[in-house]
Amino acid sequence: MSAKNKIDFVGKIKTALGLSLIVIIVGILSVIVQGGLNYNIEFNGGYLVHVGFFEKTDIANIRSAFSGGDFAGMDIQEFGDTGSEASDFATEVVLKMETVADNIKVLEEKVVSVLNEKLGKESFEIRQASSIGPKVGDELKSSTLKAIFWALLFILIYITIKFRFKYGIAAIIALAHDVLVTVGVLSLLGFIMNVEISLSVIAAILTIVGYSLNDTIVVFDRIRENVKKLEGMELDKIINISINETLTRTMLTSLTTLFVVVILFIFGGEVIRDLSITLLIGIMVGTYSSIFIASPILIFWERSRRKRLAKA
Amino acid sequence: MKERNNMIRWIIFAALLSWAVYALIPTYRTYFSSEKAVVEKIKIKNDLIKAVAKQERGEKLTAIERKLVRDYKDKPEYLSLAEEEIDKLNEFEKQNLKSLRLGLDLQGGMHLVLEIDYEQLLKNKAVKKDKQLDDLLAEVKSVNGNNKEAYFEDVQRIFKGKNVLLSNYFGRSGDSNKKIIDNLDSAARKGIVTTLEVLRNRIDQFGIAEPSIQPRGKHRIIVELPGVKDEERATNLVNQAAFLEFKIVADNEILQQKIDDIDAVLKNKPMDDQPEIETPEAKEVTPAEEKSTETSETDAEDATKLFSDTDKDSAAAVSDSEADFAKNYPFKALLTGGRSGNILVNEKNRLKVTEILKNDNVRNILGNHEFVWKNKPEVYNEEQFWEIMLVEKKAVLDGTSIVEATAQLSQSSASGGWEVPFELDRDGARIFSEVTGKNVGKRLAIILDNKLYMAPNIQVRIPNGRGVITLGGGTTEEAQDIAIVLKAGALEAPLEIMEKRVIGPSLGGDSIRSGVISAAIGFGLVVVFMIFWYKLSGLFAVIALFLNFIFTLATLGMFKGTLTLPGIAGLILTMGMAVDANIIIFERIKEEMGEKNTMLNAINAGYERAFTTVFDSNLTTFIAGITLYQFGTGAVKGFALTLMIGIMWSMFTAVVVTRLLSDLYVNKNTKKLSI
Repeated sequence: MSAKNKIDFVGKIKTALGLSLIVIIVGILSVIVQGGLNYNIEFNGGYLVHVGFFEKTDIANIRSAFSGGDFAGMDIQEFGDTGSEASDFATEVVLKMETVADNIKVLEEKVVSVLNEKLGKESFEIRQASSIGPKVGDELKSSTLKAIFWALLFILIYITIKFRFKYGIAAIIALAHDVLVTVGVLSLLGFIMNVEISLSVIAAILTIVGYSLNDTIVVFDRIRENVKKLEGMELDKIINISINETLTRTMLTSLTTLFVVVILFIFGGEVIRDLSITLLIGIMVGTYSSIFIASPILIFWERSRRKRLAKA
Repeated sequence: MKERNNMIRWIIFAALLSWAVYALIPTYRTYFSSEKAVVEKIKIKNDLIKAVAKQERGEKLTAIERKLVRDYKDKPEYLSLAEEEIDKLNEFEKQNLKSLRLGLDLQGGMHLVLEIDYEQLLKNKAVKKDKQLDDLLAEVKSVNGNNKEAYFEDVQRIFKGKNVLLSNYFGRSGDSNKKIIDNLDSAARKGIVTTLEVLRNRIDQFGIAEPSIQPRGKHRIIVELPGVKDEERATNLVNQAAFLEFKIVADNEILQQKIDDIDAVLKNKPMDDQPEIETPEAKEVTPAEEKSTETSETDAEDATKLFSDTDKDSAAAVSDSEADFAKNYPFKALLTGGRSGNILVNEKNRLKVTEILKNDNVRNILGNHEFVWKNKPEVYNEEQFWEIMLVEKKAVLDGTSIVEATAQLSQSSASGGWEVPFELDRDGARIFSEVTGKNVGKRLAIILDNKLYMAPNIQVRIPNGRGVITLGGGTTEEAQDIAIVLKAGALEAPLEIMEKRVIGPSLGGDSIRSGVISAAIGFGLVVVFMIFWYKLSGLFAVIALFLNFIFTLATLGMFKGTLTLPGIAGLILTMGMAVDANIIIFERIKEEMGEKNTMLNAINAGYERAFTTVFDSNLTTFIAGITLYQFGTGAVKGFALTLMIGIMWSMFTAVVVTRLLSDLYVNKNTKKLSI
């Protein structure tokens, strides 16, 4: 048993918390600097059209075709997988406009007519188009928050029933940590690549909320077992032993999942890139928090309880 | 320790496996068998033949049809379709229904989120329709934004604020506000139900395989039309209110009087947003045919008097007086006389006329009458002209009593084109007969969704409740669609499109390709790792993983779930997560073995002790999945569903199947299991 008790995780609790706090603060700063989270049109409402050109088309030409006038504020980006062997298209772009819903139909027609006129009829194909009213977006924001809230609440209830309330709280804090760090890192990534908060990203975050708990529960389970087995031992030590005992499986389970997520990120294509990158970040953060955040929180809880008892 | 009797477990397992394989056979045939290529070819032939026939009839082709014709025109073998090929196609399509369906993002199609337009609903329900009502409802709209939940509260508040009794407009006089609001609210709820029904009818007749039309919440309808190719046509079909009305056309004297009154009022009280009226060039292009008027003497005289048409050659000379004319007759100046004394509006002036007709004073003048626009413009000298017609506001009959409508090529009319004969039910026929009898000599305007289609003269009473709507040109689709919407019934009120997503079929193809590649590589990596780390036990886990994959797909098919791209991602993710259970168990067994248990004991203890952990940890992911499923739409729901199903099965495969396998191995060989 002692052979396994190699790493003093509990002792590193302050460093770990400090590190997490710094990452979270930097993430929040990044969100502030960029003027809020970068929501996509699903949340803000607007119009998006994804066009594939059969011939190689200079993106500058496309930009100039859509400059000014009705298209002020239009965002034009080259779509990632362009030019790969598998694709029928030489150039692909995504045109995006955040706009009020009233004139979306008009806008749609205008975009098609500009494409026809300036870039040539039948030189392109509309691969995808969405128009989303601002109200739908607003509702989505609030239902996202609700979804995350309910997920956390149910998890808290479940863990409280299966373990104890303090375990539930520790798990929830770890989960909140995962969500905050992941969103922060996503925002930071916004400086080097285009990552938008889309429905897929929310789906990924909710998945992380569920999945990151797997590892946490494995550790909690072991702590509970060891509390009975090693009665009388200090909680610090029990927790440290438990983390160490379950360390291999925590790492291995995350590793296999990371395998597939990395593959998804590399080969899954542009459409789900945001989903896979969020999962990638989230799973790493979740594994870290299962080891360094969730269980040590129990110690804080225990210490403050003892202090209160001592005072009483 | 005694051997476990696994007989029952094996039987259950075998039964499940056969079920899963059986459930997946249609999916295999649809997507992977060699038949697929054959059927693809038949499908292309089928579409191509249709497109060519359409082209020969001189109808407009859609972009996809054009591409098809372009690509296959030189391949004559594609232009014939044998009987057995049609049978094959039908059989395959039946098979297709039982197979796992691909989501819109994978096969292309259209996703619509719709809401009933409450403002229009109330206008339709109102017993009295006047300007005050329009104003009040406009105010409600601006206060309410688009919060359907609070709409009727806002209605009540705004009416109260203006001291207007709701019973002036809705229900019976003397009804309490609460009662009226309750009635309206329940009408709105019923509206969703009838709208769903109408949409289902329409889309069924439109012929889209596997459409999904679902209510969402209290106010919304989600329509998913997979594989729909003509987006605009589908949108119209869904969104068309199909409100058919018959209205009596106003006499010429009334028409002139109203136009004069409008001019008088506009001259004295110009509109706030004064339209640019001085457009002499618009006046010049009166239709050439106009001079050879075919109407009665008085009509022709009126028309001349009304519109004081100028000859082209004298246009320059009168341009000053044109400006004067426009100043004195701001409304009349925008109108042009048509061939048969009808009133036309040049496309250029269309917006201005629309603005004028919206003006409060103008609406007061019109009173019980209203102008309606023709459904499509006429072209003279390469310019578009829209006819407007003054009709009585109150409809003498509406389309609710239509029992039959079909599309046919016009036989009588010289111009040819399409027409839609319709038939009314007994009550409708009675009213129709009464109305036509009373109004012989007048014209009856047939108005669909506030657009005038035709206004024939009533020559005799029409007793049998049969009539025809002439479209004047148009395509097969247009005629068919009108017949469909007339027969399927009108919507209680128009629908607002809250969200529309259209995904082209090619994008889905790319997504499937990258999904399959990722799944293959991801699976490969997990296989290699598990066998490398856990040896034979790892192999068992891999077998379990493979089974998990099959079970998940089969279950998804059973629940009529659709496979979306995020769904594929969920499937791949589950592969990574499913082995977690085995890792937890195997690590536990290793631990137990370290404590000097026998192999068999270690396996037993490992599985038993690890089970709660596996269960607890999977359950939390499952909880997140449920929340996600509740909140998500379309593609995200697909992700949540595959995730949940995958996790559920991973408990079975990782806990039961791997154990069966290792028991089998250890029992038969009494060997040490490599782990």
